[in-house]
Amino acid sequence: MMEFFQWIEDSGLGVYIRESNWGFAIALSAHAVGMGTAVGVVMVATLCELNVLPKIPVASFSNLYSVAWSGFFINLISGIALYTSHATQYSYQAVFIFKLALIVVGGVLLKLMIDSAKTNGEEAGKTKLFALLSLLSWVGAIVTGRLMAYFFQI
Amino acid sequence: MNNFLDSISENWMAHFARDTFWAWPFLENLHFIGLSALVGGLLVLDLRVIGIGPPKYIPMKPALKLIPLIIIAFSINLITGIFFFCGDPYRYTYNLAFQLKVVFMAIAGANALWFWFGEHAKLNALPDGVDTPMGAKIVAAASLLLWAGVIIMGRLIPYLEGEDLLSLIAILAGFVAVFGLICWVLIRLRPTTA
Repeated sequence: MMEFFQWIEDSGLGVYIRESNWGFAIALSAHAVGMGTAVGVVMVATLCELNVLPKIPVASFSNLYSVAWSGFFINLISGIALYTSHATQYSYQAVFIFKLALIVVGGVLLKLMIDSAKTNGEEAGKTKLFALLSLLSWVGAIVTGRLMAYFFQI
Repeated sequence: MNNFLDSISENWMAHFARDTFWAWPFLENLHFIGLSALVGGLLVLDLRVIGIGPPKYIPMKPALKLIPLIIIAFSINLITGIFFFCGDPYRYTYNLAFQLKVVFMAIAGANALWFWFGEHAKLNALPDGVDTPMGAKIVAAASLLLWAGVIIMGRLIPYLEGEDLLSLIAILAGFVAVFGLICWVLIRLRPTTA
């Protein structure tokens, strides 16, 4: 497995992002903008569903979810670029594995919230539970991502 | 100037940020969560004003009610940002990325005041489904551009410790590339049926 991660790290992209003057910095900047876009829209959608923010019907968010997707894809691309630069390190960081898991869980829960709003209604307890858990997962993804700069050994 | 920086680098905020071992990562996490909430609120409001996503317009009144969220999120980031600044004032004061970040924030602040005093009442009175005036669209687009600039400059602080023109050009090129990509995606996603 380590050979595979080493091969990724030695790839042209990995070397470029790690060793060029601006590769890592620009990928990281794009990652921050994409994070704000994707998680920001999810935060507003879930906080509206939880009645913390003024009610915007979940259905009228449909176009904004495409905005959230554009943020997600910016982060998928910039995230892959960042990953290749330190593949041997990131692959063994627990916080990174947690981050990936939280993104998957947060995405699935958001989908469950949207579906539940359609079938059970926006005021259903189930819909609100999915909203709360999705919000917590996405905030957790930000926290674990940020902590990658601090927890190297576990 | 240096007397001022020396004094704030010894205040309680500076000591908390520097000397408590969990303080810096804790404040960073708050700063990133605040960033996302700020961008989320701005995106929903500004894209609504620009008119992305017809025919399913989000109603304008709840979109305008996101302004308290935007102000709370900005306050979180202003306060955590002051902790960072006090913790290492010399580093930030003479950092090109930080200087540009402050300039972008000042322009974004003026733009927000223009939105509040010049456009808010007009938008609040707009009937559902009616297109917004061009002036409001320009203010909203400027807001998104400027805050993207603030985020990018903030993220570049560790990478721009020395000031030089070539770095500035490189950052601005990266900035335009990233924002161009976002705009391209948004335009591609814009539904064509009215």
